[in-house]
Parts: sequence; structure tokens; C-alpha cells
Amino acid sequence: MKQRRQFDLVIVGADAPGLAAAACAARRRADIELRVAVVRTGDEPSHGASAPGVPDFVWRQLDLHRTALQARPVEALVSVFEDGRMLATSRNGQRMKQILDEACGGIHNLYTDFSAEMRRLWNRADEIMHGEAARPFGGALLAALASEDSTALALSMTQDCEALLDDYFSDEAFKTHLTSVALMPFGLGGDEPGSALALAAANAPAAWRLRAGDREPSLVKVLEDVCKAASVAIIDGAVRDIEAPDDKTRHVILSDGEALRTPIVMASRAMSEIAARLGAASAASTPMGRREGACAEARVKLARPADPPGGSTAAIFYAAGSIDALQAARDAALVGRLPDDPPIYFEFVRDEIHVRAPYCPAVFYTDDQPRDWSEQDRQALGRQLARRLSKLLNGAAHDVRRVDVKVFVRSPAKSARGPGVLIVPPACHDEIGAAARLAMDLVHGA
Amino acid sequence: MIFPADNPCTEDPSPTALFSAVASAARANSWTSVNGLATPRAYSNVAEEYEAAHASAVMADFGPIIRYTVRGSDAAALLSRVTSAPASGLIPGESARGLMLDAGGFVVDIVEATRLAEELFLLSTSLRHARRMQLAARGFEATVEEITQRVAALAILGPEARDAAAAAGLDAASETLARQKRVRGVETCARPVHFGALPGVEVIFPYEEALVLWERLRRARAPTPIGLDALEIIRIEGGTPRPGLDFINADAVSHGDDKRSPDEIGLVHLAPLDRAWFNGRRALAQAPRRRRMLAVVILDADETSPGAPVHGRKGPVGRITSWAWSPRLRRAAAFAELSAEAFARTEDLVVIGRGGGAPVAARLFETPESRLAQAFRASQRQATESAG
Amino acid sequence: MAHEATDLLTEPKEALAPSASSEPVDQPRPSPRGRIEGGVDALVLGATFDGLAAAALLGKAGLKTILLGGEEAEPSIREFAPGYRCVDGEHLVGALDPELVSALDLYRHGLAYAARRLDTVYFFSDGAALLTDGDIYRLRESVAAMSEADAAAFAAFAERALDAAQILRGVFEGGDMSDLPAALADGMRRALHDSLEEVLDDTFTDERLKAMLAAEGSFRSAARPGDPFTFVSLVRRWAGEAAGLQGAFAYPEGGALGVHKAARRAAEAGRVDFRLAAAVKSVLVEWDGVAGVETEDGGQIRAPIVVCALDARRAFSGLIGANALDIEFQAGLIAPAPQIASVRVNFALAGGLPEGRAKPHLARRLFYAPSRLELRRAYNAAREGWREGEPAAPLIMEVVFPSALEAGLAPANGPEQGHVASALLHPAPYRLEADESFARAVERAARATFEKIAPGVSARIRAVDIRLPPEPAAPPVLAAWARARHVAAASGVRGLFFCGPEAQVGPGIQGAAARRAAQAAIRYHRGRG
Repeated sequence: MKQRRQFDLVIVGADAPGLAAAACAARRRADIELRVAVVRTGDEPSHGASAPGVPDFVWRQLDLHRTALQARPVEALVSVFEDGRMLATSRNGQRMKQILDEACGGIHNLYTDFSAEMRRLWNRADEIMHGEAARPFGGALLAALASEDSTALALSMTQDCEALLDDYFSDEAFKTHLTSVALMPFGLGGDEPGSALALAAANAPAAWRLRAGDREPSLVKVLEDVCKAASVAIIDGAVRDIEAPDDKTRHVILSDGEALRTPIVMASRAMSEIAARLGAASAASTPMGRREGACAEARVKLARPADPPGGSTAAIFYAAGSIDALQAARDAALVGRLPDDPPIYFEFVRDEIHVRAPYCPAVFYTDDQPRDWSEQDRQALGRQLARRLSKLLNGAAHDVRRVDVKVFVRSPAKSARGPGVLIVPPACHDEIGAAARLAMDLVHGA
Repeated sequence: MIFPADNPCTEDPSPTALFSAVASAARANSWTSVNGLATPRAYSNVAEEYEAAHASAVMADFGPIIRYTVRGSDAAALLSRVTSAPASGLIPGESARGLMLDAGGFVVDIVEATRLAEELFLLSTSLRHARRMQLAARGFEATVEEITQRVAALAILGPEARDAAAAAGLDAASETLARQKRVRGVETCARPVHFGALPGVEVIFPYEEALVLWERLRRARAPTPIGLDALEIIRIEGGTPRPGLDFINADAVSHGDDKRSPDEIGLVHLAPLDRAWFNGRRALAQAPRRRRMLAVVILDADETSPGAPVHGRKGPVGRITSWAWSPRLRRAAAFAELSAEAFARTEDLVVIGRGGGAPVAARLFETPESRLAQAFRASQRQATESAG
Repeated sequence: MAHEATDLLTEPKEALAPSASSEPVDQPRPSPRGRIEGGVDALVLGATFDGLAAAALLGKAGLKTILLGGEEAEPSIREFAPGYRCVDGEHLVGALDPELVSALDLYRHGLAYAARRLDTVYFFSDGAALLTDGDIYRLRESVAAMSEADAAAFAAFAERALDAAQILRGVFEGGDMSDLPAALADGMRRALHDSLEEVLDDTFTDERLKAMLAAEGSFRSAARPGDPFTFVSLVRRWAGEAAGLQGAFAYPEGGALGVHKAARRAAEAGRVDFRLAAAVKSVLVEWDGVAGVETEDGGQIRAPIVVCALDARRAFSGLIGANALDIEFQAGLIAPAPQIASVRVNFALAGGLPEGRAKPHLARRLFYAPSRLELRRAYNAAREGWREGEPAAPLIMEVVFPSALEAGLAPANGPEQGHVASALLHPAPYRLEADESFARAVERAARATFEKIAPGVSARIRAVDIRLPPEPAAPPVLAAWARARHVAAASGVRGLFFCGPEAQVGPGIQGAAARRAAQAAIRYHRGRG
């Protein structure tokens, strides 16, 4: 070991949630100077694509109005189907009404009630989860269930997404759209108990993702500057291991052998590579988080920019097919197979399409023997994704120049690290809010 | 009939059926949005509109009020369940006011049910209740359809309203019964209504024919068009609380403390416990606990503001929820939410003005609505005494 | 914006036609054709175990009670192959409410156990087996023998989980959670929402130990072990009590029939009036409370209390009707259709189990714990409804041998000593109308899994009896708890008490819901003075 630097908090992952959390923790109290470090592992999501939304309290805490940040919300969340049908969620009420009137006929008012109800459910759940972020969700859930109106709350918090949607809507495509938007990032199928919560979380104001224009500074860039101004150290290097010599000390061992000494190590996101690899037996998981599986991230480089469906590049596109297909994909991944038609979501970034396939297996099974991802698997998946895209985008795949596939494996089976070594924010759409709250609670107390 | 609180921030409100007619008449060009529909606050001059309403007749675009049709063999049963209006007891053409309550007995909305035919009802609500209606219709042989933006609704209000309507061939059948007929090839339904204490006729007709009838009415008697601000004065004088201002729809509150019972908003007479069952009646029968009361107060001042604190002899007892300057009373009239004790004592109240201004005296004011509630409570007391 | 003509005004003629005003919906109904019976304190609907138990408690408290039967069949003893007999219904008792047992004095009414504490033998996919003591508090010793590495972890885990099971017992019976947050150890609070797989992965390394606990926790549960909230299922399983021992399984004399009969005798002792043939048409709701029932023959039985042991759909949608229910309550009744189920299979065995290394002991509970991959495949196949016609065998299987615990169930002719194996297979797809091919698929899965437990057993199977339709699996514990609280407490109809299957948390014969419903009914009765 070459040297040992000392910090009060180390956050692994220099993505938007990690940087925002570090800056919030460092700026929270003017009278205390905290030494906060962010480790840039190289596994961060690619630039240029959409970034998680910034919740208001983070905006205020970091005085983001003083930066050059353009918080431009993603235009729409669009589901594309192979028969050419399209459905979208828009933040604009009139636009949403128009979409629904055209696609499903007259359910706009029901949808309005639905999203209001989801927002209420999320507010309650959010209170529960973040009342004290470091407190176990289960304990807070218990406290909430012990309250007066517990029955209704318990019913909705343990409900599955599929049943909840069936109760409101009858249009299969619209249900598929809502399910995709809410559950795809978590690799869920919609029949898991508690998955209704993800539906609620997707309706939280900060769940709406942001996208910077080509010439505007990206959110990560802005947050890096904010971090530097708050004297947060940004350290480059992959994390090899985290050691816990005693309860109060952690050593974050980087690939070059350097060790960072700190009492608290936090991952920037619930579903990060480090969290899965090093066993994040954290207190703060939710019914949405921590499933076994892998998420593949592919960058499909095209010979020329492709035309997005509906003409809007600043949208996020989801291709699930049906709820049944989502569940079949989840099932396939659980038993170590790649799904036949992997559900994907993608964005257009200049001459590239960034695709995510969150329903991938953590390990493959050949003759019931587990086997890790190989280069062939990645290439096969890349070809499959390119084929799928070309089906959805009318042959745009003819222009595919190159497909780069990265796979992030979450395999809780491999992790037995004991609780509290690496603390992970709860999985939810509002990644920045979850990370920032957790970081502030960890160093300052609730 | 009541408008809910307006929301001036709504993006791009939709036009009502009468929008183009209303827009050409609205010289004041002061608009707001009610239920996402464009509504004029005033056409020319609020005071003139108010005067006309009391002196002769005015007409108002009631398009922003939400309409449902409920049809089917269980339509009456469904309405008797989802609202406290005695739908089963109505004869065709008759209307009744009622409340929509949640299972806890808290007020969701103020509604009016009209029986158009044996198995067809019109339900007018101030807010949309898509989900509640969807849930309520389960297990019933009835279909519920929202038709707000498929019809035009026009109200003629004031002492001469019926004459004005009759001059255009649009009068209701009687003081209590609606009439459906064809006026110059246009299907219309005219029914007697009240807005606040103001009697009138409401005409509902197909969307496409909106302008035909508006013009017809203007030519026949030319009632003054009246905007939301003048209607607000009439509403407060009439004593009807407005959803979103004076109380919050129980389905929309996130904090249980913000829910209000019928008694608390002064509409206890609209949810009588001795009538057939309706949603929330059980809870009402069990928890008559009254925490705070909504009442109209009149101030010895020209203005006040929503949220202004109301003090009793021993300190704060409540706050103002909505107000208007009443030309008839020559002072500000306001809805105030008062503690149950302060309401019962009918003590001297003062309203604290803005910016530390001098407190102004206020006292409870009897409205037509509060007289109904009073009479209802008295009859109930009598009933329990004679039973005891 | 829609521009089509409104249909609101298209029926002017009809609208103007005079009409008879229809009668208000919940006015007392017109006098019935049949006779009206009064002087009854309480009616119990449904002659299930819970219905019998509730009626018995009411009768014992001095209420004049009538039990009205439905379509539910009493468990019966059947000969499914020459000389081989089986009892339908639960073959083991693992969560019978002790308070109910003592309140009704069920032992005096004939409840007896042929085996009070069945040891369990777990069989694993790699062919290994583990004998564990029937006393769950001694489980750690067996685990220590299997996996040295996890012995210490398991001891600590078991202690916390068993503590939690004790604390949560009231919740599993349908009680509220108000005192819980403080009482539950920190580690266990988290476990409330975690999945079984997560908790096991975090705690243990031994795959067999994980498979064993995962199988116990997901047995008869609709949620797969990787789903949120599933760890509580294991806690629920360990919170059960049979024959006075927490977490143990007992075999009642006469099987499910024995338990049923005891409740029936207790009800008879409480002078409950049995009308099992009477079909109920509707529950009368007048004003805000129940007023009795109307029977199919047009008669009325009037009573201020109705305890309902039928399923919620039949009780609320069928007998009471949406008309008398709060909208919010009715909305909470809608549960998704079951997808996952368990199937009962009886085997007629000639000569017991084949002998392996040692003579098999049949007075035990045999349990096949599939590997993680096997279990996932089984759940996947069940969710897809065994689409390819094949279940992904093996499944989880629980086997007991009633013939080894009770005499007279199988032919006993010398060396060809026959045995009846009663098995419960999980997970299978839920099918209300199961056909021949489904039965064949079940049989194949049952045989394949049985073969995993006892290689060579197929040769001794003389007959297979498959009990259809399959039994729907229990919803996840927290969801079941929420629904149970909702249906049991929130209907708001005065005098109506519910103890149908939806009021129960977890599978099996329990009776806790019946006790709670009866106790509430008795309190209500006394309150009415």
C-alpha cells in the first residue's frame, strides 16, 4: 500500500447522484469542514444521454441557479411497439390529453386521478423511506403501518404494479407503457409484491429525467464544478475492494493500491456495479431494489443520425412489447438465459443510440453449471439489440457501424460482506434525491 | 351548482362550447381556468353584472361545471350510493342537491342530480371524479360517462330569468321540473336551478349548437353576461362553500386533518342520516364530532384577504377562507373557518388585517344556506327529543 | 376534443314519459314469500372450520346461533385405490390458533394428535438429505451437522427470526401493528420487506441451507423467494404453533377430518343450530347494519349479527351487494386472480419406501427442497401456466404418510405392507377448471419429485390420486395482512363479521380469524345490551 488518505465520507461513483450527494454533504453545514471524496471508477453512465432529475432540495442546497445548468426536462417518455403504435407520457397536461384521446380514447381524466393518487402514495412512501434515510425501510414501514390509516397504506404499498394498473385501466398498450416507464430501470416484471411503489415513484416530480443540449454543460460537468468549489476530492481509479478492519474504519482499496481511509463508504446508486460486486447489505433498500440480474448498456454507433420515432430526439424510448414480455424476460434472466426479445429503453445521442437492456442474467447456466458473461455473450447481445432496434426503427440498423456493450452484473449471491461496509441509497427513480439525502444523513445525522 | 376554485396557472385552458361567444362578449378580457376550461372573470364591470343579477336576469357559461350521465337499470341506485342526493325518489325532470362523501363521511364535492328519464340521470359536479365514479359503478348495471366537453351549458339567473328563458323558448317545465324539447331543431334540456340564492334556469344542449342558442337568447331578451367574480359575490351571500377555497375535496387531501364533514362546512342538511344509505353515511352516524365550522361573516371593512386570522375574545379562533365585497351589504363578506366553540358561542369576532392593520369587527351572517342548515338541525333536535 | 352529438338528449320521449318512482335501495324489503324466523342472536354462514369454530364460540358465549351451510364440502375419507384411503384437506397442522383451542376446549371435543412433532427430513437436488428435529429450537444442531461454516450464523439468525416470529404472532393473527416497531430487533425490521433470497444470501454460504430455508419460506406462497416481502413468509411459518410447540408440525388423528369434527362437536356443545342444507340468497342490510339473511326458499332468518366464513367475493359481492358497501371498502376487495397454486396428490404405495442406506422412517415429514435454479424454473413454469405442457420438475414437495401414523388407511398384508403418502406440490399454475392433461402433468411432476426423495419409489406406486382444482397459494404475508385487516374490519356494516379465507394470513388450518371475528361479535352483542 502506497499511502493512505483520510476522509470523513467516500462516495463510490462520480455520476450525477454521487457528485450531488458529495456536494450536499460537504456544503450542508458551514461550520464543519468535512473531507469528502468521490471515486470516479470509470463505470459511470455515459455522458450525453439523459441524467436523473434534480430534486428541489438539492437545487437549493447547491445553489444550482448560480451555475450554467440548463435543467431541460426530457420531452417525453415514449413506448414504441412493433406494430408501429406509439404511446407517450408527457409532462404537459394538454399534450398528454391529446395523446390519450388519440390512443386510448377518453381516459385522460382517469389518468389524471391515477397520477394524483400515485403522487400521494409516493409522498407517503417517501416520508417512510426518507424520514430518516439511514433507518431501515422495514422499520419505517412498520411505523407507518402502525399508524391510524394503516390498512389502506399497507394495501397500496404491498400491491403489485399489474394489479394496480388493472384496477384503473383496460388498454393493454397503455398499461404496458406505464409499466415499462416505471419498472424497466429496476428489471422488474410488475407482478412482484410492492412493485406498485415503483409506479408511484415514477410519478415523483424529480423522477423526470433531464437532458442537456449539445452545447450546454451536462449535469455531471456542473456538479463536478460544484464539488470542486466545495473542496470535494474527485479521485480516479477503480475500486478493487473495501476492507473493514473494525466497526468504525473502512479502507477503500483502489486498483493502483492506494487506500482511502474513512468511517463511511457509500455507493452513488443502488444499482451500481460496486454495490453488487462488494455486497451492499445496506439498511436502506426498498421493494424496488436489489434484484439479481444484469443490465447491459450498449452504444450503437450509426453511420448517420437516425430519425427517432415521432421525430423527437430529446425523448426516452421504451420497447417492451407487453407486460407479459417483461415478465417473461425477467423470468428468463432469473434462470440464466437471455430473453428472446429483450425489453430495452434507448435514447438518441448525436449519431449514437444508447440502449439499455435491464433484463439480462447475472450468470448463464449451461447444463445447470453457472458461467459468467463472456465476450461472445456480449457480442451476441449486441447483435440482438441492433436487430431489435432496426425492427423498431424501420431498418435503421443497416447503418450500424459499431455496437459497444458493457454489462453491469448485480449478483447478491456473490456478496457476503456483512452489513454497513458499503451503504447504498434506496433504489428509486429520483436517484439524486436518494443519494443526497443518504449522504447528508450519514455525516450529519437526520 | 357551484364552481370549484379556479386555477389561473393552468397551461392553455380548453375552450368551453360557448367560448367564442363568451370571448366576443368579454370586453374586460380577464380570464381564468376552472377545471381546465377557460372562464371569464368579468365581462365588463363586476358591479354592473352583480346589479343585473339582482334586478333582472344575467346569463353565465356553466360549461366548466362537470357533467356525467348515468344510465342503466341501476342508475338511481348508483347515484343514491355515490351521492347523498335522493336520486331514487326523483321523478323524471326533477333535480336534487346532495353531497359526495368518502367512506369516512368527509365531503368530496357538492353535486346536483337530475333525473332525465327513468334510467337516465344527469349528475353535475364541481370537480372531476373519474376514479370515484369508476369504482362506484362496479357491480351496478349502469354506465357513467363524462360529457362535460360534449355539451354546452348556459345558465340564466336572476328574478326575471324564467321570463328571459321563456322568451327564447327555453323555459323549464315548472318551478321544479326540467323540460326537454326541440328549439328550432336543437335538442335542449332546461331545468330550474339555483346559484347561491339566485333562482334561474340552466339550459344544456349539444356542443355544435352552442352559438345558435346563445344568439337566440341574446336577441330575445339580452340578459347581461355575468363572469366568475360577480358570481363569487352571489355565492358568498348565498352561503355556499366553494370546493378548493373553503374546503378541500377529501379525495385530494394528503393530510387527514384537512378533511371536512358536511356539518363542518355548513351543509349538514344535504346529507340527512334518516334517508336511504349513501356512501359515508355509516361513518357520519358514528362520528358527529365537530372540530371547526365554516360560516359566513360580515366585516366592518371594505376588504380582507384569504388566510387573514380571526380572533375571538381569547385569541385566534380561525381564519378567512374566501371573501368578496358585497355591494348589497356595502362591506366585505367572507367565509371563515372557526373553531367549533367560537361558532357555538357566536361571540364578537375580529379579523386581523394585513400588515398589522387595525383589527376589524366581524359577525356571523345568516345566509339562505345557513338558514336551511339551522332549520335542519332544529328539526333533528326535535326528533331526538321526541324520540327520547 | 370530441365533437359527436351528445346522446344525453336523444331520448326526449322516454324522458317525458311518466314513471313510477323506484323504491329506495336499502329500505326494508317487502315481506318475503316464505316464513320469517326471529329470536336468533347470530347467524354464521359457511360450515368451514372457521365457520364451525366461530359458531362454537358464539354458542359457548350464550348466543342463540344458527350455522348455515354453503357449498363447501366437509372433508371426507375416501378410498382412492382398493384398500388405500385418504382424507382430503390439510394433512398437517402447523398454525392452529392456541387461544381458539383452549377457548373451545377442542381437546375435550376430540382433537387429538397422532404425532405431535414430526421430524422433517429435507432432500436436496444433489441427493443429500438432512434430518432435522421437529422442535424448531433444536434446528441449529441439525444445521451445524450439515454446514460447519454457517453454524454460528444460523444460530444467531434463528434466534432473531424466532424472536420476531413470537413478536409478530399477533400480527399474523390479524392484529394491528401498533406496538411492534419498538419491540422488533433492528435486524428484523429490515427483514419485513426483504426477499427471502436476499436475506439468505446475506447470511449464509451453504447452498443447501439456503435451499432448505427458501423452500420452507416459499412453500404454498404465491410470491417467489426473490420477491420483496417474502422473508416474512418464513417468519410466519415459524410463528405457527401446533400441539403447543412453536414452529412444529403435528398430524391430527383423522387428518383434517379430525380437526373439523372437533370443531363441529364444540359447536354442537354450544347448542348451535345446524342448517347445512339451507342455501342463503342474500344478507339483509337495513340502515347501517345487518338484519339477517334471506334464504333461497324465500324465507328470512332475522338476526342482528352475521358472521361470514365464506370467501370475500361470495360474501360481499354475492350476498351483501355493492349497494350496501362503501365505495372505498369495495375497492379494497378487488384482489388479483390467483396465478400460483399448490396441488395435493395421494400415492398408494405397496411396501412403503424403498430402502436406501437405512430403513426409511415413515413417521416423519419429508420435504424436497429444490435448488435455487430448480425453484426459479418451477415458478417460471407455473407463472406461464405450464404452457409447454410440462411442469419444470422437481417442485417443492411435502410428504407425510398418514398410514404410518394411523391404522386402517392402507392394506396391511404381510411383506406387501401398503402405505398412503399424502403429498403437497408447489408451485403449480392455478386452474379453476383443471383438465385431464393438467392432471397428467401434475402426476409427472409429483412422480419426478418423489423420485428425488426416494429413488426407486415409482416402482411401488400402485395408484395416484390428484386432488383438483389446485389450492390457490397464499399471497405475500404483508399483503395478506393488509387485506385481512381490510375485509375483517372495514366493511362498516354493523353486525357483520368476516372470517373467510381472505381474513387469514398464511396457509393451513388456523382458526385465528374465526376467533377474532367471534370475539368481536360477542363484544358487539354485549354492547347492544
